[in-house]
Amino acid sequence: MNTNNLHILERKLLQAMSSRNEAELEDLVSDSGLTLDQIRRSVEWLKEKNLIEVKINEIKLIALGREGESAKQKGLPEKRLVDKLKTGEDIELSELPKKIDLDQDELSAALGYARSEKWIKIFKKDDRVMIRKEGNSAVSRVEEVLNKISRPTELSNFTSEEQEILRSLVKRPDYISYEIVKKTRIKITKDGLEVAKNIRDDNYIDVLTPKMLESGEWRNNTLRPLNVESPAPTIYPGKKHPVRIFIDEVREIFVSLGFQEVEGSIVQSSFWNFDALFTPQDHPAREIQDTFYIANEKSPLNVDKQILRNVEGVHKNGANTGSKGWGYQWNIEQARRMVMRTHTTCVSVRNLADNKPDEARVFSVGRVFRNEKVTFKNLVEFHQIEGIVVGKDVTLRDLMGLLTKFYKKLGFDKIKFWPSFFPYTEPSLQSMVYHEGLGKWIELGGMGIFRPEVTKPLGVNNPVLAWGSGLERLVMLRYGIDDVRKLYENDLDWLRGVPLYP
Amino acid sequence: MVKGGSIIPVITVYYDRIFSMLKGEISKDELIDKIPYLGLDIEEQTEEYIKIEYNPNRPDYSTDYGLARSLNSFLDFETQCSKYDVYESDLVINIDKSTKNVRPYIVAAVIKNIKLEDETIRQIITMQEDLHNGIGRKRKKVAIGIHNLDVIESPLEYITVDDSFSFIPLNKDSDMTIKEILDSEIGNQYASILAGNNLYPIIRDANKQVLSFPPIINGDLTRLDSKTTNLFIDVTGTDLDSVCNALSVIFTTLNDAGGKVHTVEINSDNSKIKTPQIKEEVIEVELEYVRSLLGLELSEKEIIVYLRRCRISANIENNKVIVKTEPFRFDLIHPVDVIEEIVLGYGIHNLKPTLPGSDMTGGFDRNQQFLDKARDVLTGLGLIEIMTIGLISEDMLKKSKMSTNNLLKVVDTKSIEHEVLKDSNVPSILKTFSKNIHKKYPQRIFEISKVFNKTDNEIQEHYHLTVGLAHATVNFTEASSYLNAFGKQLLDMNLSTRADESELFVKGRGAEIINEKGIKIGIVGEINPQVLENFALRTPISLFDIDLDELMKR
Repeated sequence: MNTNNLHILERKLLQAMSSRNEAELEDLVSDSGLTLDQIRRSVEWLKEKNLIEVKINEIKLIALGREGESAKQKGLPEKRLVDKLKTGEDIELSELPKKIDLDQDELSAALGYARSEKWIKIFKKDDRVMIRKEGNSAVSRVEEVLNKISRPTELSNFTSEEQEILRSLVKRPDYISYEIVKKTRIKITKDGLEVAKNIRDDNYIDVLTPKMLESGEWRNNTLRPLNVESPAPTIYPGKKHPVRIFIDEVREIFVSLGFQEVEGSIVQSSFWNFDALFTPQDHPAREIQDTFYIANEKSPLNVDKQILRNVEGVHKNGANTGSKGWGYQWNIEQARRMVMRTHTTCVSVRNLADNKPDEARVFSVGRVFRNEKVTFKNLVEFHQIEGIVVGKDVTLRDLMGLLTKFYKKLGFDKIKFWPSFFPYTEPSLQSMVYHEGLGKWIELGGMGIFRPEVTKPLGVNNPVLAWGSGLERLVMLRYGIDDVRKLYENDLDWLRGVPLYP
Repeated sequence: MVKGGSIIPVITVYYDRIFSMLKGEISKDELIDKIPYLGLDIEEQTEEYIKIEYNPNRPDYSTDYGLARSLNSFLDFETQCSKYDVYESDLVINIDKSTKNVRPYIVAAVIKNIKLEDETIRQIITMQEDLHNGIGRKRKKVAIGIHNLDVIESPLEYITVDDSFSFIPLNKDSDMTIKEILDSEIGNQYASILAGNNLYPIIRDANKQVLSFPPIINGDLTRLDSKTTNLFIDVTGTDLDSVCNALSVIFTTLNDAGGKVHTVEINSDNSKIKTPQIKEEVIEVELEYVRSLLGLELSEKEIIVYLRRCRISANIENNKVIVKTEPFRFDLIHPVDVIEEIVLGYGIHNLKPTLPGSDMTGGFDRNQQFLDKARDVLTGLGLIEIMTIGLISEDMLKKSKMSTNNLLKVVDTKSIEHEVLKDSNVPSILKTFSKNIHKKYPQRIFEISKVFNKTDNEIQEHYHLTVGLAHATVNFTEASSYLNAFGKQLLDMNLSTRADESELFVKGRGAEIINEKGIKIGIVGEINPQVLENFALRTPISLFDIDLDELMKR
């Protein structure tokens, strides 16, 4: 056999084996200079080539438990009991705990064993339970056996009499435990020995060292060819989270379409999350079973007074927006309640209020929250993508055009639209894209033109196109995942293994 | 935009019924194809029926009658809007003024000569439930009673009673007091609506027989069955518009179901009205507004046709579209709502996408750019990014020996796993290690996430970076090296450390991270074995945690 076909690990192991014939894996660490892991791998390869044989033995190991350890240190409890007593002296049983350093469990076990060995006698005198020493404790064989166990010890190291004692010790709680361990023993075959000899005799070197380069010694040697077709050990790079990678991709697309990124707080007042979006204060979406409110927190509502008045008016009777409003008395206290934002639309709207643009394209990607039970399709917290476009002449058709472009850049060529409803947009549409892989249409985001009841109170007079979508659905499609919880479980195997450009 | 969590109502529509109501020919497939373009979602299809989700602003879709009405116009089977003939009945309700502070509004109608087949009854009950849950806000704002007209005698009275008052409630065979009813299962569900009063609203007839205890339950007296042909409808509530709107949905639907609608006279101290009233609402929309918002150069004639398809009659004067709406279309509150109707009539599938004319330059948020670069450095150092949920359990904070003072909690969480806003990433880093104990070591991970706390009476949100290192020989020095590399490579900044005692770390092996001014901006150290044990971890961990907002300020 050509020794060059062997991996360097295999050669090292064979050489270590050639002097030993038979060995356990652990014993080879120092001889071969390999790690246990490397030894295991080369054993597998050498076995395939019939250069070694592998035998797996099951070994029974005995180890001391906590009580066993204590008995080994201090002596068996029955011995400690008897050694403290004087022959012929009667002691009341209830006095014993004061005299002897044994806890209640040890004491009752000690009494039992000492009596069965006939070292003590327990009897009644005037209604008192008395104890009398009757003989000396033998130098216990049990203690000898205990002393033999210093760390997990093979059962075969004990004589059959000792094994009998070990079996009796099992009955004592937490004295000893058995463990079965698989030991791999390897034996070098005849072929193996032959190959090992060849390795010793050839003139190859395995490693090119800096020293050889310095001295020029490399000229006198040949580097051994390697098996360049064998698999290499796995290594892992540092990596962004798959959801983050997807978010970054979405951000790039938005920027390429001329959108400016904005971000905003996660904790928002109900004012920005709901009221500014023309969501009436008794709307079901505002109830605690849907929305996470923050306990005991009220916003000071440091909002432009004019905007506050406008929003109040628009809820009440539409104010000057051309709307009838919702026809109820708006309550500022409701607007102060703090929530975990339920959408990023509040971020868009705050941006509109701050900048009052005549023309703008703005986007955000951020976390939003819903008070839901966690299931394979629902999380309490997920990401939302949102884009808005402000302009004097922007139209519903422009919104459809932008969205078509956006999804095209994400890899969806076919898109269709149909009517929908959101409290803060009119007209409102829903979109579906065709997923080639799944061969079906999937529902994605909603969109619409912000109602004048939303924009006018903020001082924005041009139409505002808006669209939004959940992000996780798209990430799941990208990575072929059908349980949304998996995205945030952070299973390292998944994170390490998931490709960046699938 | 993401739909709210609130329940979206669903109706069941049987093909045989809907086809019998449509005034033209259409196949099943075409029907399925058209329905979404009304703004309705098909949720389920079988051989016999389809289930359809509708948006709660359109309760007229709560029965198949409403769907048929819309389809007939949308598919051009019908080119006239319905006229609702309303007759007068001699039924009178006298309102006692004590109801004013309890449940102030009541409107009513009488429907005669209606045939109540089983499916018709089911459809009516769905409508009633959907109205209760939607505009009725779970019966608080609106509650509806549907009664057999033939067993009651005019005049009726709407009065209040105390909780010892008794009558036989629906599906019971003996008297129960108001108190007993409120303590019963159904009463319990809605009792809070009437809380705070010692008086309870009751509708009775001339013979003092109880029809209804709104919004809780009807009397057994007026129970419907398949032989019932004449109905009395009461709608009570706390908001006049809402009760009138609910009644509009009901009477128009029952009219379409073949009933003859009659008014009821409602008398109070200072007024006498007859309901249902058919209010004709008029909305004006500038032609230019329609064209510019949709991006369509529609002719006047087209606009009129498209609105008619949505059962809205319109004419155009002085460049304005003037529309009159049907009584159940109270969702139309602004000219844009009319514009949406026009585009529905035009057909969303006929709209061709365009792109906005002007071009703009996009860009990234500065803070996000900072975080992007931070991630570049960290992944370059070989770390794997994790992302976790920001709402965690208090128990996780305790296990990490983190402070549990001043925590921000959410109200009524559905899962105790998610009850507090995390004020540190450390627990989620430890939990992640804990879930990966069987995975290959070394494990080196990081998380960048917002953490929350309250200072100076204000909720603060800061981005924190936490780097966690786990393997058999990890130590303080390694964590410190990663920290230095991070500061140097990202900002050319020296992040120094100052000894500090914290329960999170091994004594003498934890420190504060301080900025150039000596202000604490983070922590670094070897995790206390007790904390490791709390997370069932059997490998040592070192970590650092740093407030990135403090670094972004530079």
